[in-house]
Amino acid sequence: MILALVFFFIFAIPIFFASWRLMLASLGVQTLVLALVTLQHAHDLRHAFAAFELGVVRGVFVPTYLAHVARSSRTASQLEVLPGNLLHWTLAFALVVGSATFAAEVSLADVPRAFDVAASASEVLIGFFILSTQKQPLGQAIGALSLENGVVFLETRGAHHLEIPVQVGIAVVFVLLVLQLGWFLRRLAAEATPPGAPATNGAGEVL
Amino acid sequence: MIELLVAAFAAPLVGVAVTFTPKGREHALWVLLAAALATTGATIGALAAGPLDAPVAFLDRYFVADALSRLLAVTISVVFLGVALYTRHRVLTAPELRPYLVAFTRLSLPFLSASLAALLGQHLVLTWVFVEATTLTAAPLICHRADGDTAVAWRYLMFSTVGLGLVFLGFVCLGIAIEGAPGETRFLVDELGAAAARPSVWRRIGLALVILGYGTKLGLAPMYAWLPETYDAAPPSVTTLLAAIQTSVVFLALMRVLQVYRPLEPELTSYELVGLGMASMVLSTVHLVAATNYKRLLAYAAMNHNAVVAVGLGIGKAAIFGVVLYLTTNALVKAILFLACGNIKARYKTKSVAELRGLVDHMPYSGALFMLGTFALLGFAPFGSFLGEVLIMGGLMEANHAVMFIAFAVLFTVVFIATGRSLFPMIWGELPSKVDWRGESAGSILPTLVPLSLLLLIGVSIPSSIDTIFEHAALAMGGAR
Repeated sequence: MILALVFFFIFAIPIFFASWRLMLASLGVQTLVLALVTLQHAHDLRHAFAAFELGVVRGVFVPTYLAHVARSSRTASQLEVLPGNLLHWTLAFALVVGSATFAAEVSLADVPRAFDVAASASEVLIGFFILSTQKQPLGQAIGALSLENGVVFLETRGAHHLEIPVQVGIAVVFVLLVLQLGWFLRRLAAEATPPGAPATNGAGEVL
Repeated sequence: MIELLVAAFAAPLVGVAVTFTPKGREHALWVLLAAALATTGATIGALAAGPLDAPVAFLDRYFVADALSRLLAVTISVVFLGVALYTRHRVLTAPELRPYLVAFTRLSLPFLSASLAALLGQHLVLTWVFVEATTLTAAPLICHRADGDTAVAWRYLMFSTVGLGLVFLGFVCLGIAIEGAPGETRFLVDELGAAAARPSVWRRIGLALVILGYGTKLGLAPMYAWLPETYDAAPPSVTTLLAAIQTSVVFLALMRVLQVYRPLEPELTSYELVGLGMASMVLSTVHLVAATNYKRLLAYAAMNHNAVVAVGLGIGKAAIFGVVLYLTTNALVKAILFLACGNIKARYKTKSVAELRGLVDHMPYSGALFMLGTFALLGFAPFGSFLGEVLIMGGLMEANHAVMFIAFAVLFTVVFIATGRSLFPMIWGELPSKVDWRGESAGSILPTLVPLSLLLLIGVSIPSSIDTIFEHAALAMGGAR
């Protein structure tokens, strides 16, 4: 229960600070926390690999690499992943409440599972919400990664674990996906910003 | 047979490795053609090699060679050979495209390998991994030229990430549903049955998410916006890879899931697939009526076809033979049409329907191919798509979906009229003023000749050997002849 709450708040609080650096860091910290918990219960190779993937790939590589791409593309530091107004915040809050209600419904008497499901569903739905409201590529990438983190949380907390070859396959395509996100972010920023122009928000809007 | 399939998977990867040598880089076109030919030969050999009624699992049972995967492997390798020949034709006639050849080869060959691996996969999550790999190789291909539309490729990547993310979330839920099953259960089609049979709300949620996610990857409503813009903006060779190859791969990945879960959740499967399919048919038909760009029109037609297959899959047993036939023939039809589109666009420098008239006179080869492709697209006899449509509609009646049958027939009629109204004047109409076009070389039809021959072979007679392949392919998916 505690882990689910910690996981959710690490993600939810930075949304209010309108900074892509903080958002990327929060996504990394979320998976680092998950990696530590997985490592504590690692009694076979599958758990060890899962902890490695969560900690090194998702916790360190992804935020570091994307932050490097955003900096080198001269992206302005301010980025509201959710527009800062009452309407959007109310809708986001409604998604969290909806997730909790859904979790209580499907998990019945299993309270720890209900918390896990609520945390995961909230992040997935807010990820969708970010994707549907964001016009900036970096913001959309953060939305997609939030969705990914929500799914990974539920997967890690479940009792069914995939075989090592499949886990390796998933890790490889995830790394390739992140590298490709970086490639596209660079290219989109270069197309939107002529050489010597001031910093933009990634969609060509000068800040 | 297994050796041939492994060779078909490995040949494109060897080709990619060769392009990293100076000689290979210089002769990238020949590397592309050689890899495409080797893969086609190997998949045809594998189809002819073993018995069709007994699936053969290999590599720790992560992969399986059954009738449907072998049939689709031949189909996609033939389409890829067509794409390779088209690339050769375009590079020879437009030398300014030569600088992009190495990048195209390095991305399209892994795309082919990943597609073949996904077709042969029987581990549901590993198959998902290979589908994701096809996406990751296709996204940069959409904008690999200097004039490529990066924003469209980005949106393709985002939609695909969301769609495949939903599929993975679905698998996580299906994993929760089998928690506590005795022994260790892998997500293998031939192993999952007993564990998956335990009723659980997680099974319903997981299955619904998997269908919705793969539906997004197929451009079905509600998340279909990426399909028309991507098919329109991508180079014709890449559009063909997406429309003919990737679509077949994603449908087979979905069919593998249905192989296990349809008997357990027949109503959910049927309602969701038929619902998504019918909604997509309505939307694509509305867009088709309004289309003024022939490539976008064909993109909506492709979306319409995916919707028809989804409805057929939703009906199940009675329509599966039609689905298999329709899926195979439509991959070939889309290859013919989009490659012919490439020739037309290269000649006239326009995608506007209104600006093109009399193609059969001015571009005798591409015009004729475009005409035949349009006939097949519209479901004219004797093309296989006609028989596929009839069988799916027959399945609707057999399953007592009379209202759906009527809606299907009405939508087909509107699509027929709208497509004919736009494309027939392009093919036969007269230009307002006489234009002196350069003669078209016969080399331009080479890329589409192989898919066209196969299409006619299936459509005109269905030789008993091919009929047997289709029958076994349908049976493998729980269908009936």
